[in-house]
Amino acid sequence: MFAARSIKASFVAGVKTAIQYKGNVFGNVISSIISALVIAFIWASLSPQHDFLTYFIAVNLFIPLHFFFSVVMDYERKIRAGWMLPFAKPVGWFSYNAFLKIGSESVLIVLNFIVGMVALYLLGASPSVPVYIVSIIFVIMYEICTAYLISSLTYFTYSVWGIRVFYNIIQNIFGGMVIPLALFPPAYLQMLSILPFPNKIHYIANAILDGNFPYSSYAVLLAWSLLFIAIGYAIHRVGMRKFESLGG
Amino acid sequence: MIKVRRLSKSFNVPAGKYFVFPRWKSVEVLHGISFGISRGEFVGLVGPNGAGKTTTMKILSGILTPSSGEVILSGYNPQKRRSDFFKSIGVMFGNRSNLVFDIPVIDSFLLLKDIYGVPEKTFSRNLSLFTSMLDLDPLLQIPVRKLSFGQRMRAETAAVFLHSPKAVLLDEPTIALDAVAKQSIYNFLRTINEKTKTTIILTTHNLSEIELLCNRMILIHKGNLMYDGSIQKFRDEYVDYKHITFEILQKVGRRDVMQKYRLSRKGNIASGRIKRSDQIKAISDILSTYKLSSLSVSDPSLEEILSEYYRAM
Repeated sequence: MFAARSIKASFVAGVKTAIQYKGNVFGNVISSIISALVIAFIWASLSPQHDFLTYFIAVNLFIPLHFFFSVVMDYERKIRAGWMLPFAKPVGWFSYNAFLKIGSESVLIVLNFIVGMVALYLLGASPSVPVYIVSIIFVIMYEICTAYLISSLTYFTYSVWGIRVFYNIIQNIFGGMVIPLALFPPAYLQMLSILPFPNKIHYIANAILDGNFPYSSYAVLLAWSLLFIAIGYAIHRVGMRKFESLGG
Repeated sequence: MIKVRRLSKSFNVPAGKYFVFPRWKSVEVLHGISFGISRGEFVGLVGPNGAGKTTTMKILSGILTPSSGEVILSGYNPQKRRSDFFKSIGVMFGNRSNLVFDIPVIDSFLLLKDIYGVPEKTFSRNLSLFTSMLDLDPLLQIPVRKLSFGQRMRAETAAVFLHSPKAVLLDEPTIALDAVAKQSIYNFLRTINEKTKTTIILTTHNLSEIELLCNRMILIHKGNLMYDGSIQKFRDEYVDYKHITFEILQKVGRRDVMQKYRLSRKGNIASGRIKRSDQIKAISDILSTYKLSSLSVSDPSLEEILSEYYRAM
């Protein structure tokens, strides 16, 4: 009951923070639409037989790609600065930050969802809302677990900026964010499907457009999430014990 | 309320410029300090920069893990980081914020209410009391980032006490504040300490704060506990002089008290230090030598005593 109250409170504080920065939220939605249009246009000119526009709209507006970045950035900055609100409070250091971010990102997720749905209906597609809702929960769960693992490295590496950039590049290439995986040879795609990236972007976007639940993608995301959380937990425990950045 | 026994803490610091295989050396910042604090005490933790004050506070609040020794606060071991322990303490570091920067002050208070599980009735009572004492009413709906530093620190002070903690750790809470803001926080801390018997530990470099608020002082220097007791007892133990200042109207005697007591004179004003044991005789000599318009004898400030103490160490 107590944990639920503090989770709700962190979430609400996150929503209120996002509302303070409406400009950022609208900026993100507009840049997602523009990048979907540009990437789709480039690939359509190279491979006219594919419908890339609906795919890239689904990818850019439905998959919360900024989420991992913002959770890691915030947590890393707070560890480096040596202080964040829950250091001496009855809440988990990471969970407080994660739920604050879920709160602030949820404003963007909802707005992206509305704009994406309208855009796809106008393009003649019929995206599935139930598939979207279930998929987005799995994607956010995976994002939190990845952020948990990578941000815990801050205790040892001081900054995880390079790791974040590396992760993002791999995700963009192998997830279908920039290069549509539909153009990849099937054997290659089969190999990639054990990685979380295509299961988080390519398969989820297509499932929302097709209306079929991507159970195998959910299983892959769940497996990677469990692995990340286990490794992250071990690193976190050691990191918190050796935490010295606050030494006076 | 608080028991600290043989508390030591070491930090690892780089021992040289090695990129591939860095070498580390251990620096001990606390050398087995011990002290106890009872419920309702207002204790000043003082020492020069790098003495180990903030490290002690962070170990007490469960943020840092000690290298060795034992700490018990409100019946809990802080390093176990149990939520009941965190609910029983309040922590404020002057240069860090307990409030969420982008949301109004009242929303930060509501967030803390839920984080600490404060009952509605307690929260409303504390909020209305603190709002009136710290004059927070006009600030409650303003986002924290838009507050001046003094306003923010008033809100931070209220935030620390909202859940009615049994013990509060304040690390330089009035750093960079003006006299009015400081006074408001002093009054608040004094009242809360007296009314609710909240144990307060305060670290600060502004020693007049310690004199004004604390009934006990713990002095740490280079990680060692140098003194633990009342401020008056510290004066009695470490200071054997008083300050004397007087304004001369005319000389009526022939004695040279200025040289005898090594006093200095600027115009009609003479001043200097006199030994405690000599003070009656010195005053009598001065009065028999000069006709005065005023005379005052005062204890040296804690600031002065400690700066001499630090230099001597």
